[in-house]
Amino acid sequence: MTFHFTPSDLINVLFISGGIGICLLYFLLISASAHLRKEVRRYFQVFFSLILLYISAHLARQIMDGIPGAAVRTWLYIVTFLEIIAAGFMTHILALLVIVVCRLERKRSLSLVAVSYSILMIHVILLIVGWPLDLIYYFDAGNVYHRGAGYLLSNLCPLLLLLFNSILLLRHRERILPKIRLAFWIYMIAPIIAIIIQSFSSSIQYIIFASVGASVYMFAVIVQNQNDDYEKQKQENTRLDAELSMASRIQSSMLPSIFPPFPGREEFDIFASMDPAKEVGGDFFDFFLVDEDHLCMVMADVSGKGVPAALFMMASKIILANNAMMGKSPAQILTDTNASICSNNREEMFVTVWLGILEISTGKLTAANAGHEYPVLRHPDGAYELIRDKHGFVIGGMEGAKYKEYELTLEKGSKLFLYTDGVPEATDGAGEMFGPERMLAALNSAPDDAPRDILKTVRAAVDSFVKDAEQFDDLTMLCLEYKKAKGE
Amino acid sequence: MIIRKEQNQDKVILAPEGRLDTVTAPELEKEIQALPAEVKDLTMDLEKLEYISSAGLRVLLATQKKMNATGGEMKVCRANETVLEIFEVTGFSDILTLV
Repeated sequence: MTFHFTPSDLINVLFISGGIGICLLYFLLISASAHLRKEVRRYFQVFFSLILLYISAHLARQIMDGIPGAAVRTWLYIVTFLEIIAAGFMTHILALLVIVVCRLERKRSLSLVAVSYSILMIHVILLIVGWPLDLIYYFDAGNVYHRGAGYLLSNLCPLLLLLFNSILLLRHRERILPKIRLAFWIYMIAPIIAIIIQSFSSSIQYIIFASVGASVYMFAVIVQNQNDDYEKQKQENTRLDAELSMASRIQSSMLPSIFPPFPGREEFDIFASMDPAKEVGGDFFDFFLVDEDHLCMVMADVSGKGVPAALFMMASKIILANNAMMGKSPAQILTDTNASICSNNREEMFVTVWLGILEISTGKLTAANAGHEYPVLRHPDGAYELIRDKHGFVIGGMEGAKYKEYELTLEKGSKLFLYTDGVPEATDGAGEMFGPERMLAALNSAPDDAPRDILKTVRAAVDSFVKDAEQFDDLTMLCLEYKKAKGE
Repeated sequence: MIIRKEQNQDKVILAPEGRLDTVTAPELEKEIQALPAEVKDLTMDLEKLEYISSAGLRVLLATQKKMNATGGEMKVCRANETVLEIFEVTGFSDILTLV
């Protein structure tokens, strides 16, 4: 087999082989593009495969055209069929790509996809039916390609799809970035211009050059756009991270953090800590002197986690403290706080609160509990035990909720331990919970330690229990040691 | 999380399984929001619920309030020891209809 290349043949081969090379390269490039949206990537993979099929079939037809033989004849029919069918699929895929880029609502997208599919199916049926009838194309006795009587029909569906795409682009132009819109237009118009030029000098296949060039340009523009989006997203994430860590610092600075907090007050020793599971948390503790003789202590846990919980926590903490500073009783503080929070609580958030006021001079502790964990008390020389106190409903849960208070008496050396559910509900890798028993056991392992060391002991026990499991809930604890009554 | 659902006209039984916490609570919330407005009899079957966190309680509270407002009824049944204890401690046992 020998080839006689005219200059225009040479140019055609250059276009086609260059086209095949570029398509293959781009196919690999698409697969490696990390920041492409998944469906866009899939469309481009199919798209470049189709162009490859199209120009390969075209090349094969050009090479075999006019070579006699029955086998060649069969192959000629097959590759011509593939070439024309690929052209139809390419415009269909373009329609799908435009629909994806427009980000229309689902129902509308689906109906548009259905229209495009229907046109494509007409194209396929025309080609299949036309094959035995030599309707679209045929090869004469010398295996030379000729257009059939119905050749124009083969252009009908691609043209219809082209029209469909133009309408889509015009109708939804405000949904597509100008740069991408331009690339789509170039892709659709370039082949038409190529066909017009070709009709003057039919020997050179400008159409291949135009389709490959325009597809590559379209791909480049979309990839660039998605990369820009990705960069923007990354910057946004960095900004959010910075804001979160600042929020975290603001939150922790809202809690008492200087220990000992009341230098010179020998009557009691207090220590507390909060470790949020995320940057910000919904747990909090608080303690402050209402007056010279009354110490108010709060332990609370907001429903949920993260930023929503943290916002709710800030509001709850301030409202509780304001109510307490007015000198109200614990039950009254909880009742009034509940009323304030319920008046503006569309998200149904709530907070569990244990609040106690210690009369420092006598050791009398008055407390109320709004759905919070049982406090733990140890009398001198005794063991740490749960106080199964009366529970009211969580704060923010129900308008008009009422709370009851109860009294305990702390003796010299009594210790009170408060915590949130993050402690008993710390979970190990097997899904087992730490539980109140293990917590009491940890407390009782060194009952005479100072509050700061007691918290360390409990924390160590939790850590060695959960081992490598991720900390799931905020971990917050407070311990008070009552040392002596005033004037003693 | 697996949420088993049985619907018989305006009676619905929802049975969440496993842990109901920050991660899984939104799934149950979505399931409940998707219920048609004519549902007047909702039963939460907690037989296979191992644990409920405050995020899960929030969903129950919101649902209870929604049912109260629309004149419906929500029942909670077959909760295990752990879950009952949490209802008890948080005061939820007073506002839920435990059967």
